Amino acid sequence: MAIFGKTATAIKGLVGGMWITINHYWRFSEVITQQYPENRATLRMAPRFRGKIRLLRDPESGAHRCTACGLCVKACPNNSLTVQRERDPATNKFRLAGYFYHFERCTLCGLCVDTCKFSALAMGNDFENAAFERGALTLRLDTPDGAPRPAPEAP
Amino acid sequence: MIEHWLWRTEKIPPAVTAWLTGLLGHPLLVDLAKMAIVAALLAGFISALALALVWIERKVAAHVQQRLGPMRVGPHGLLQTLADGLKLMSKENITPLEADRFIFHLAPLLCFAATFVALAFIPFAPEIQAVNFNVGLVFVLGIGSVGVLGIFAAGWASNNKWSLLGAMRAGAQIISYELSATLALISILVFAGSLDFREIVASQDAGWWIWRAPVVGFVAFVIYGIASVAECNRTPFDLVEGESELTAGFHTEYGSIRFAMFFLAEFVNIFLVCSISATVFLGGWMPFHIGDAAGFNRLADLIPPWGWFFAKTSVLVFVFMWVRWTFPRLRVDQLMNFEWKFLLPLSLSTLAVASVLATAGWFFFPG
Repeated sequence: MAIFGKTATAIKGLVGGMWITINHYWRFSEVITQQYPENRATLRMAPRFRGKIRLLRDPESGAHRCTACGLCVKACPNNSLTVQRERDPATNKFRLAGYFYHFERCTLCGLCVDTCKFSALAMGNDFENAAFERGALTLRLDTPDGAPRPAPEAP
Repeated sequence: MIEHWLWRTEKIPPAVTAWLTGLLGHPLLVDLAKMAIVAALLAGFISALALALVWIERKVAAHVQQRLGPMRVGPHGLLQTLADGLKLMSKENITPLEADRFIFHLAPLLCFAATFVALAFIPFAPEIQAVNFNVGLVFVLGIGSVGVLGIFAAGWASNNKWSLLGAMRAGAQIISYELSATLALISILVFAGSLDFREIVASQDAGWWIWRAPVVGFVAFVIYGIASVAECNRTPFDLVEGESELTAGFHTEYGSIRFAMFFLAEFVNIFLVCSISATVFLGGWMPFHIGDAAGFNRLADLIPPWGWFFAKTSVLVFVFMWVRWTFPRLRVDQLMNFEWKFLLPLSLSTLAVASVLATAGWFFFPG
């Protein structure tokens, strides 16, 4: 007479499964689909999304954390980063003079972010990468407002 | 009772007949005109129904998985299935080189015709029934098997091993589960005492059989539900088109409008089995009445009979879709074990108990 016990267990399992799915069904406010072009302003991005890299700033001083050490340039397999540096006349230390990002060569592998010893680099969330000409993909990252801008002067 | 013709649908057919007689005169012409009108209405209804059901299925599937489903074509994607249908119609009709051409072209028509004809026997409201037939239920169950023939013909004629395997599974599965479905319906027929859909609905004036037949009514309802999911070849019994094993089963080689006809038949079939279930177990178009509670009964009568019918059927269709997007697919041997070792003995014993109860008059409100 094991059949009765098995039947009861089976019914319990099936009803439990249907209970779970109906509860998901009613969560209209927690729908994960995003209707992209319309909701551009309120788009929810995954925090670990790998978009264009960005240069981070020190929250207190507002200066770039980058010390122009060049480890990211060495780590980059595609040679898509160029760091220009100059000596600070006061302290006689190197400082960042220009951070150029050849996005047309970047594979978004993230090795530059992994190697950075000063946490000065991060993968960004910007995924709208299309451009009409190659020149628009060569970017300068150390701009005053932090937004990358096309850099025709890049070496 | 509201006297408007939308509520008193039994007034419609005599009124139409009178109008046509005045218009055409000869009774033969009147009959021909009535046939044409009913066929056109049924065809239009089936097309609209299939489009709506596909959209609803996609929406239910999406929300079970916390997605949105189609949203772009029309408000909330309402016109998506129409666009898909137009796309399918405009595509090329490909027939495989080695296929049995005649049977290959006939199979989708068989599938579609079976559901189309079967739907003509369902009473949607008082006197709103294309064919009134005194053994309607048996006829509908028989016609349902022609659909299997269509599936098998499609699998055989495609000259594709996956199609043939899918068709073989379909044949085995539908023949097995038809037993349980029919036995479950017969368990209620012994209470209702008729095979005529109209009589079955009329017998539920005092209450629906699902609760008036003590316990067996509900058990038979569940058995019929499970067996009809299997007959529609839907998950968890969709081995017929198990994508991971058979690409698309019997309709692998079909494209364009022929595929659309299989698809249409499949979705109308869901509506068909749900409407049979609603008619036999849930009182068809009968409104929900509680004995002498006149106030409640008057409130229930505010909804027209066809409203009751479609409400009951829609709830069942929703449960079908809910089940589909909850459960995983069974294995072939599990499928057969379940039918022959569990469902069939259960439905046979239900029938035995139901016969005893019906002859002894041990059910609620015996006439």
